[in-house]
Amino acid sequence: MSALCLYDYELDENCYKVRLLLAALGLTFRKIAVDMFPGAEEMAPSLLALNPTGSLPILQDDDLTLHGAEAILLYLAHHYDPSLQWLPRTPTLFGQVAMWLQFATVQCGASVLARRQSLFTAEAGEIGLLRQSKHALRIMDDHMTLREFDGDVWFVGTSATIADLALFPAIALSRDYGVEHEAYPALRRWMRKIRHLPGFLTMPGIPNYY
Amino acid sequence: MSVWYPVALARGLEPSSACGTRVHGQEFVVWRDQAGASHVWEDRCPHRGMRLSFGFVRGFHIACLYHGWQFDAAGQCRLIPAHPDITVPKTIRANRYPSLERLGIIWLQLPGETQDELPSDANATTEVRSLTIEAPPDRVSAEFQNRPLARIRVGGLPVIAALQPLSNTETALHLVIEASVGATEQKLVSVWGAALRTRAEAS
Repeated sequence: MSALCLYDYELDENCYKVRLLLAALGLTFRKIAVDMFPGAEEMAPSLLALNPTGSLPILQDDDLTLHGAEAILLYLAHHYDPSLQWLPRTPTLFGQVAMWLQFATVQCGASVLARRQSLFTAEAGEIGLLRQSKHALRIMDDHMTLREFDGDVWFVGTSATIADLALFPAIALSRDYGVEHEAYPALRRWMRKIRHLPGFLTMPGIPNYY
Repeated sequence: MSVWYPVALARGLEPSSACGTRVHGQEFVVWRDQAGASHVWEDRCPHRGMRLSFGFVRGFHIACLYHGWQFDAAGQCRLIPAHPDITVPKTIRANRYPSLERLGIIWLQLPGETQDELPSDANATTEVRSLTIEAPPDRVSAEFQNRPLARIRVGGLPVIAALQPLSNTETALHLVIEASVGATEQKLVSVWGAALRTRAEAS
């Protein structure tokens, strides 16, 4: 049995994505709490030795060390999900999951920065970051609007994938950086579906009651 | 005199859910109870002013996320979890507004300078989507000969376009096809609406 170990910060949405998948897969793991704020512990030499980019999450599985939430999601789904639900292998679905994972990293990156500014500095999120965040959420809402017409409820395919988990925090935590859910009706409905996934976990900013 | 404002697509609001919206900057919560009745209230808990749209629906009550105070469909507070045994005073009430569902849309009635009548529900409807447009209501309504509620044709389909003035700079456009149609037609009108959004925001 391998020993999974997650370097985690409770308020970090990228760590949250990984916690969601670990829970959905029912995997046991050791959690090492990293004091990102105010400690900036992710930049300490011991953690930079594991991840030179100075970000969380970091996953260790025996001798393997990975950083980057989307990469970790890919690894966990590929290695620990025999059902193949979370990372479908048919070329079309695989490609679409990969596309949305990249979207979660790149386009939703603005929402990570906006939220970090709002929560951990005295300033509100920069206007430019808010605009980029809203643009990404609009693309997501447009996508799910079209999906709903065909009776689909997930970003890709007919069941939840790691794409859904990777995209979830950008909208679920958007109020942290001052963006309401008003403009995204399809994402509101999709978020309710996410909440019913097996093992679903909340985090600060995502209430238990909804 | 009173004006009807569209605030959401009816089917888009699932039973036991709530969402926040605005009319001319004023905040409202639109919620649907478990039996399917919709309600439009001021988006404010009378206890601490928390937005009720952050809260949750349980049965026939909406509850505030802050302290769990629960309000029935009449707006009356029915439960204060910190004091579960007290009879809640009649004066603790949420502020309700008249609302109804017609043409596949939830409408809110507010005092106004004109006397609006909503058209009747004669035909079958297929709901498409609500778009939030980052453009002033005047600019968006110019697309519809300045009408807040327009019956137009999109790709040969009869479409209802209902405009909601969210604020001075944002407008919601609610689109419904006035016929019983399928996904192909919904997508056509949806994409048309997204193009209108782009146009209105660019002008």
